[in-house]
Amino acid sequence: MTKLLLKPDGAGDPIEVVLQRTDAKDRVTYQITTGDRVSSVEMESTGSGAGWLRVQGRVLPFRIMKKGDVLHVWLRGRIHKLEIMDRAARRSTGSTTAAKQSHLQAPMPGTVLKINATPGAVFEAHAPLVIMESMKMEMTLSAPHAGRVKEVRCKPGQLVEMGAVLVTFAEDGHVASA
Amino acid sequence: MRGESLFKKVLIANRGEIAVRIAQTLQQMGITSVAVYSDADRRALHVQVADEAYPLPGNTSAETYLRYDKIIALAEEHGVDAIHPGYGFLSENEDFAIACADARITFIGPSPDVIRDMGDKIIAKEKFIAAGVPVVPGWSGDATLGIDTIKQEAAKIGYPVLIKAAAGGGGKGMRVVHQERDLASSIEAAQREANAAFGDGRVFMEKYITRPRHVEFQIFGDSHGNVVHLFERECSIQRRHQKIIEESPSPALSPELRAKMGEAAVRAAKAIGYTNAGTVEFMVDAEGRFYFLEVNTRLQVEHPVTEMITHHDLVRAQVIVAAGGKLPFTQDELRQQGHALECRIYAEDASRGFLPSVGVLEHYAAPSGPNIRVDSGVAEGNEVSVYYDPMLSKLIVWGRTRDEAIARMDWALARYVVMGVTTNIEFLCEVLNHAEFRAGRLHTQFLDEHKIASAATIPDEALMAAALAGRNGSGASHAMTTEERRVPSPWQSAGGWRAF
Repeated sequence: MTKLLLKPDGAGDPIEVVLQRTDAKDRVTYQITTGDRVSSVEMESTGSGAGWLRVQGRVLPFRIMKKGDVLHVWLRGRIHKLEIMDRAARRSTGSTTAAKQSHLQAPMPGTVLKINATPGAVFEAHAPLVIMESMKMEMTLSAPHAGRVKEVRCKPGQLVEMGAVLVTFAEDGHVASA
Repeated sequence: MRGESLFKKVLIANRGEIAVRIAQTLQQMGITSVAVYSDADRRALHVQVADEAYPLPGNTSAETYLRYDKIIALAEEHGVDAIHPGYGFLSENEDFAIACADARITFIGPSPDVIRDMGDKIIAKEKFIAAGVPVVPGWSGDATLGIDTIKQEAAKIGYPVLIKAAAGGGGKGMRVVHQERDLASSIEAAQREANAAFGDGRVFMEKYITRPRHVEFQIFGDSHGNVVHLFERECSIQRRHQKIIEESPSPALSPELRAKMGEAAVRAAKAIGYTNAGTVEFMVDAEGRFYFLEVNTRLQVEHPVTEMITHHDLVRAQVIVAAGGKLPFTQDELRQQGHALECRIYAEDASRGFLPSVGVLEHYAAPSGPNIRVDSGVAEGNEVSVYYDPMLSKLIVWGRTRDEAIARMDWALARYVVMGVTTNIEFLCEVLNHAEFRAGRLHTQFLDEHKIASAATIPDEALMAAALAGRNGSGASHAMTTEERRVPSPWQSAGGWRAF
């Protein structure tokens, strides 16, 4: 028996899935318990991330890939992202999103076009701080909340990687006048 | 078409799906197709399908697909008779068309004069006014006159106004301004974007028509004085002025309106001496009034829609006309049969503000079946890079009726596998199934005004597949039994995977 904890990407609580082998004749089948629902499933796989499930006569082709700890499952035109968690990891998630951010990151690799931030400057929530261009599209990176600029770490014309810190924010209470 | 007057070798100055699509027609016509490619595109599909392929060192468009000096040098070196520019890149570049002529290489498209005049949205508008085609009220004065003058002009036109790039296209350098206090910053942003995209920061202003439909007519001319239209395409489903779903016929046109608009498009095309393929774009308001928008002097991204309803290969016709031949169809021969629908598949994340998504295509499988066409520029294992447009492919379907075409598209989208980059496939499905879309009540603000909901629930089957696949690699370690090893795990022989 195997127990897995799968957390849907974005919102949602982790879902516990219990696998139990229940082979019949020469077929490998599983009994799968999700919440209070129990299903009998047969799986065929082509061995390269593709396969199909048979659930009560219904045939469901799927594709699957893994990025880090996240499984991406393609099923009938939709891609579902499920993070494989263990119990320890479960406790530590869920409290990071509400906190104020300490910096503005490049969401994509691209070129910095314009910077509307100078060290020490105060900004409102949603203020356009940096304008970038990526894949020929201009995009505005807005302030996630009101605050004050601590440091500007990019220049117009600069090519930046995804995740690069472009602007850092001063922490609440003690604003540096650097 | 008699073989002797055609080209022997044609270079495709483009990449992605359009380069693949052009190569296919060239090969079918017995013409050798030549691809060019950047470093990043070394293993791209358009390189694999061409008969010959030559490198353009570098990665950015500016150092590769826009370097027409290098492209013409390659064409001369390899005995190329003609160059097809596709869309985007050099397709509407008058200087490139002139440079081709200077090198005695045929540019497959309209004459440099027509490209220049139509590429300048201000001149194009004047020419269409002269041909008696209705246009949107606007102002195209000198933007350097200062903001006060522009403010007066905007007030005369009446808000909201639309700022557009004179050299524009594809929504770049475009801004809607609802109130005077946003005018200066919007003009600045439009100029900056226009300068970056086209190297020409001139902008103009016109009345912003609320909830218009975007209806365009495919036109085609030859060097013997023949000009025809191949009916309309409605491209009202746009996101930030970028078309994402196109169809023909337009649900909004009566036979009378269609005839009137087609006749206006042909009349204007004749007046400017139009040759080869082009598109006359119109806005149609809620009362059925139409206004000239602009002319695209190239093959359009959405041209397969027209091919599906007319059963003519537009690239083939372009080649014939460029070689001096007569149009392979007359207006009387053309019929608009059934209904065609196209969805553009973009590598972008609808849940994160449509940010472009880059990565390796770990899984890629396009749908197939009767009356389904996929023009794809990618294959499994390809990398989608930051350097170029995020459009991966186009999915085009045909049905006897609009409902049949929508049902077929819905079926095909649900069978389109793209993993490794995030795509807009699920978003397209939601739009297609929206009641207002089904009813044909389309306009260019459709996506802003209608909430496109995505189903958040995860089906049990997805959990099952994940659990079965994840059972070996999860934190909950699980030793495989001998018997279980006989069951191939999807993780085995996982070629290019980064995981595990």
